Amino acid sequence: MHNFHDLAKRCKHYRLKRFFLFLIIGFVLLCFAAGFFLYSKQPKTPSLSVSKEKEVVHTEKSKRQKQLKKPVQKADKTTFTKTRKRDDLSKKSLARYSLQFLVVKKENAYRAKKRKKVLEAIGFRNCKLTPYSKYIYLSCNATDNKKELNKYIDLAKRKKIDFFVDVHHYTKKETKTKQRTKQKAEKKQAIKKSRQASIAKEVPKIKKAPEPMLQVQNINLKQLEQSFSKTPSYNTALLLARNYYTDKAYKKAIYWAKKASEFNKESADSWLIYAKSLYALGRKKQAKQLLHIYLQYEYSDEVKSLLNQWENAQ
Amino acid sequence: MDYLELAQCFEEKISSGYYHQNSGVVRIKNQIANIIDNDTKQLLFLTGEPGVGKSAFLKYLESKFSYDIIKFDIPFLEPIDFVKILIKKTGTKVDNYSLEELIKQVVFLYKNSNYVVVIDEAQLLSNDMMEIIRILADSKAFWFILAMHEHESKKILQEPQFASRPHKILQLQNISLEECREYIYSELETKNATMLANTITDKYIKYIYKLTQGNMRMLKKLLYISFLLIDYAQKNNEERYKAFNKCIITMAAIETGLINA
Repeated sequence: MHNFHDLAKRCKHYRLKRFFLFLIIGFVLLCFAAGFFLYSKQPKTPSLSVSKEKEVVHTEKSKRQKQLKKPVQKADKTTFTKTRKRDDLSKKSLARYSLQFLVVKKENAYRAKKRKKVLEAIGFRNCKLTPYSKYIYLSCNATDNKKELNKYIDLAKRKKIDFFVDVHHYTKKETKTKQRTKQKAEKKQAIKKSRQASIAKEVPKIKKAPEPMLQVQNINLKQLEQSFSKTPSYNTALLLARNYYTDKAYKKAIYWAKKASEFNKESADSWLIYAKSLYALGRKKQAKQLLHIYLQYEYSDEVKSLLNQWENAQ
Repeated sequence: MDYLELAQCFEEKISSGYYHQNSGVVRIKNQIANIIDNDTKQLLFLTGEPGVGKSAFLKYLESKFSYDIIKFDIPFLEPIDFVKILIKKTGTKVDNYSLEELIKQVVFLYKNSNYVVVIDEAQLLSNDMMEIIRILADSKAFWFILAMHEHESKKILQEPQFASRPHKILQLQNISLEECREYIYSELETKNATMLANTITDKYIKYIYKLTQGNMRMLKKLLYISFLLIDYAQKNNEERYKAFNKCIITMAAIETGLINA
């Protein structure tokens, strides 16, 4: 046996190799078992709504999930009754189909966004990220007609993308409530619009003129003049006077201030605009005289302070 | 204990005095006896994988079988030589006749006898030889036992000249684990090594069987080398390898090529 030592050496190598091989296999099996254990312990992903069901499953993962789900449903009576109710609902309900590609936790939303871009680039339409509970669902091509999905299913199969057809059942009641909410929203919008329009019309009827002048800047002055001609009032005249004053149309402002004072001679506002307009036109003496005359009959801090201001300025 | 002597009992020998009869061998032996006693003369095909023990079985048949056997170990024969050998076996002088005349002569000579012509490695026979065998089998002068490899036998038996003729197929299979154990123990007992047989535990038997898959040739070879290695270890004071153990079996398996290490 001249090769005895060589054989002994080879035997040692072989046994060592086998030992490590068994060790690796054992480790892999252990990892697999641990993974499976953790996977089975993980909470199941919730569905989008109570009436939602996953119809066609194409991945092995989801098959496993299905197999896992079945005994749970049988074991738990409450869930069983729920599913029965769901079935009853689905019989009466309408369905909306979509291709669901991904369910990720909210922390991993970037993954869903990336995937969405990829899917859109491939040719899937209307890809949506729907957040629900802790998860985000990526679904595309939502449609009421299942046949419309067929070409996208083929596309997904061709591209070897995992997916399942997500069926969302909804009852006629839901559609009615949706329609009602829509109608309500539309009504609200219409009311808002009409209010905005009516504000413009109602402005002349307001007894007290709005304090800041900027509020009435956008009001159409012609419409105001027309409304004044129909129903002449102090407020409308004063509003016109203020507007023309802010527009630096001082002569018109004087005209409408006079008109306003015809309705209410005691109000300081019309006198102030009259005086300010005269002052702006350069007729400063006349403006001062006007305020002095007003102060002889009526007392107003505003008028007094303005007069003092003008006299001090000289 | 003389391990060299033990090794020699597992050595492949041309002439073996002791032949271990496992259940497969006994079954086939009985089958052959039954066929020869009850059936008309025909072709018997002994098939089996290489190393299963076909040749050993044929040797055993030649020496221990109660029937007259003419055995051919080398199948590289010319048809005319084959017929001439058969004529010479009867002690008759062979004349320089044509092959046709010789066939007539041989059939005439063996017609009333019960000779069994055994040909080992029959898968190597030429087409001409196969044709002569077919003619002689048709003449009902001989029994033929053709031992061949399982794979080749399927091809030959599918040929119409054999498929259409009466024939029997006797399949020799690899031994079972129990037979393997029995074989090792009986061989060791013949050498009065009962103590050693007791040290070869079930674990080692299973390992040996796993390596050899019950193939007799490989089993013998493995045990032969194992005992040679132990003998070497004892003579060279290799402590670890002085007794029969798994490492010795592995080393022997590497040497025989059963393990690629």
